Amino acid sequence: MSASPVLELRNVGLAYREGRLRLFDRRRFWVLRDVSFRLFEGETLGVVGRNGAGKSTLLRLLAGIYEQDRGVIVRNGGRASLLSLDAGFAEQLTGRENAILSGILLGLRRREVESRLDEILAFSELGAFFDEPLHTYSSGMRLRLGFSVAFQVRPEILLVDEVLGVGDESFRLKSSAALRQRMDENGTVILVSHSTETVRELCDRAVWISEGATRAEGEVERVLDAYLEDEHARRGRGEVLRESGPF
Amino acid sequence: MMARWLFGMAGRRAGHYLDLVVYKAYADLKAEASRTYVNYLWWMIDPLLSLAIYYTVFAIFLQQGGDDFVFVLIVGLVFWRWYGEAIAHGAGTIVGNVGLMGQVDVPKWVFPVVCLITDTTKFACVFVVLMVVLWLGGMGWSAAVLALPLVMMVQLVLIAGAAMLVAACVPFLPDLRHVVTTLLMLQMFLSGVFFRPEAVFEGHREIFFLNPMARLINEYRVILIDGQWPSLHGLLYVAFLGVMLCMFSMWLLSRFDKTYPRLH
Repeated sequence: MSASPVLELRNVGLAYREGRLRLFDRRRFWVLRDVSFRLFEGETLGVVGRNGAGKSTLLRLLAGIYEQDRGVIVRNGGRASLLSLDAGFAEQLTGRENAILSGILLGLRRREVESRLDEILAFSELGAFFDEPLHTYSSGMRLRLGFSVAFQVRPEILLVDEVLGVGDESFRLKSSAALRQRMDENGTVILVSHSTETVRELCDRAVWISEGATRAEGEVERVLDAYLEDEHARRGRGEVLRESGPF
Repeated sequence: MMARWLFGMAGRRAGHYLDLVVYKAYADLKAEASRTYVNYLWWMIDPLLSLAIYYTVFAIFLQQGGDDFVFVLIVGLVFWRWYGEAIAHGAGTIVGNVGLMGQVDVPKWVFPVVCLITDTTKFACVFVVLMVVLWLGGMGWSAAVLALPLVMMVQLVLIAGAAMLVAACVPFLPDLRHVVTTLLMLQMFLSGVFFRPEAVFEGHREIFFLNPMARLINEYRVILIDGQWPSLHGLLYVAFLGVMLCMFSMWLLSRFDKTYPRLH
């Protein structure tokens, strides 16, 4: 790891203010308090943590959607983008039109998306439905369309939240295989998950975030051991896993 | 901030933003059309209804306005509607796209600008009808009609500035949306939509013309009904106001670019 990181976070914190324009009551809720880690080119970095640890907020921060309230983010590479499965989808538009709109929103030029429509159609297996309006789609078909478009976008840093494979069983295998292939092809990926299995299988290094702060960073096994040990300790103390975070 | 934005616009992203704005506007128009065709028809019906009401009240009951009063009204209503609708719709564009802003990092001016394009497209249809009506009504056009695109450009800049300003402020003060509706109503009455500035007491006319829409509507009538050239000095005043509004709202939108996705 002598190369310089493409992305580095130093003591990053992000707070939500309660209310909108309350000038006199600036109570803050720190979702991220002290997050530090480095991301190197070509690696898949796994971020583990329980629900509510601030993982979704962290991804939005890395994608440039949010800005940190304290700390430093050093970007030496290009854009980081979330793997969004339904960005800008509109019910009345056809699959084809939604593919173009979503592709542009995710950062492609219009002609780039249009030249890849055949690939998108083939991967999504939507057939004639591709030219039908979105409101005729099942939820599985939406996911297939969304994934097929999002997969065509190749950001320098790909941010993946939780689910690897989407849709019905066969498409789930296909989409997760496609993502795995991209990770193996030296794509730079940050994978956020609370599944230690996924992280162990796919990631080169890992970061453990708990209550908005980095607890461990480095070799996958070492980080996961620390994470699991803490989980057991919590369960021993009778703490129940929170089912959902602030989102 | 301003410099960063200008640089960003001039840079390689400009083409991408153009793709985004154009395709999103096309998608919104298509989505709206497939939801309801009446929506488009409404753009024609509504000015006609207003026309009927104001004509009844002012021309028949109050016996005001000259022979060309119906044209005075229709010109005022059509161009006012473009302004009023675009701003009222623009107010909700940032709050209406919070979901999308949480998925992708898009510069926030895109949303009000897309709305401006869709509303201007609808206005264009009504505008064509207006020109036909004026022609059928025997309004002899003079060479001054050549100045019409210029006046419309100035109005577009003014609308863009005002729409982006309300769009930028509404996420912080949601109640502002209701205030905007009321203010627009007030401004409509002050813009001479159903009277000509000659009807305003002479001592107050200068104040009346501080309102940029009062100026524009008067210029439209000067061109389309009187067949005269518009006043350049008046247009410059409105253009200056519009450009200042645009710059200020662009600054606001860029200053709070990362704040809007966090306001729920």
